[in-house]
Amino acid sequence: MKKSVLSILLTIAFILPASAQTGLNINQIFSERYRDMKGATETILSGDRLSDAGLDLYHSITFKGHPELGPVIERLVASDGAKALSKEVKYKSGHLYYGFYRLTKNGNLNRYVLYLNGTLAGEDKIILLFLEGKASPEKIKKLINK
Amino acid sequence: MKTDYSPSDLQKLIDLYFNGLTTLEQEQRLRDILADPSVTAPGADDVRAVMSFAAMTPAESAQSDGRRVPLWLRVSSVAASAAVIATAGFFMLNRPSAADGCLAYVDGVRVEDAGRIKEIVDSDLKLFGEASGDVSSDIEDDLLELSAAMNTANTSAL
Repeated sequence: MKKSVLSILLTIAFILPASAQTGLNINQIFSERYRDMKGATETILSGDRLSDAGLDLYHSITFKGHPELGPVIERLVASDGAKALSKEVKYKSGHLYYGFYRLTKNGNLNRYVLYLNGTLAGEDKIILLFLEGKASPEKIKKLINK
Repeated sequence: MKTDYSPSDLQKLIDLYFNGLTTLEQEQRLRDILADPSVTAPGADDVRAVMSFAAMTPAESAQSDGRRVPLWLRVSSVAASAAVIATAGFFMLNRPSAADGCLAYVDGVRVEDAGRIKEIVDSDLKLFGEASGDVSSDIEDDLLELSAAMNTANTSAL
């Protein structure tokens, strides 16, 4: 009983502004288990480095040599994408090849999920990218198309 | 642990799981079923991979002092655990220092070299740009074909 009460008190003490990715299924991929896989690269940028792009957070994870993760990540992306405000997707061989999703806002910040499964196009890379900031979808498109 | 289920029940739970619609009880039931490595179904291995599978036995989940814990406390404890995990996730997302604001892990090795991280980011954004460009081209091509087909239909009608 004491442990449970302590847990509750710790919860209250740790109530913080919501994490950018809290509540998203893709959050399961941004974890130590996947980050430490051979061929995995996780990248996190925040703060002033992103101000020109109108972003507060750039968080990506890429996998080389793990085509088996495509279906796993695809399902999570599709699940989060099902609630997206807007989306642009392309399928290849019945699987999600490219996805650009604008999710519901986190406060006054826009959230985006981008996904690319290069293994469906003869490449060896799968990329999952989460972006958050005031940047509009058009600005994000300019960022990736520059 | 032997858990009774039907193949359709299992498939339904797997589909709900990947749609993010499982309740806590359903997720635990799914975890219990998939604790048996002989259980197979479309998507079962994917669920195991995502869950980082480790089933709990009833003995492990029981209170050590044998006392019953009120339901509201048990539910609150689960919520508390979830909140602590979410908080840990929040701090993980904010690992970059205030000074740098950039950090990468490559094959599990921490990288703080801004130049190398910029190369990684530029490379990934370029790939997204190419894919996005492909989508735009596909849309243009489709619209052109539709337009041509409509023109042909109009000509035939005349």
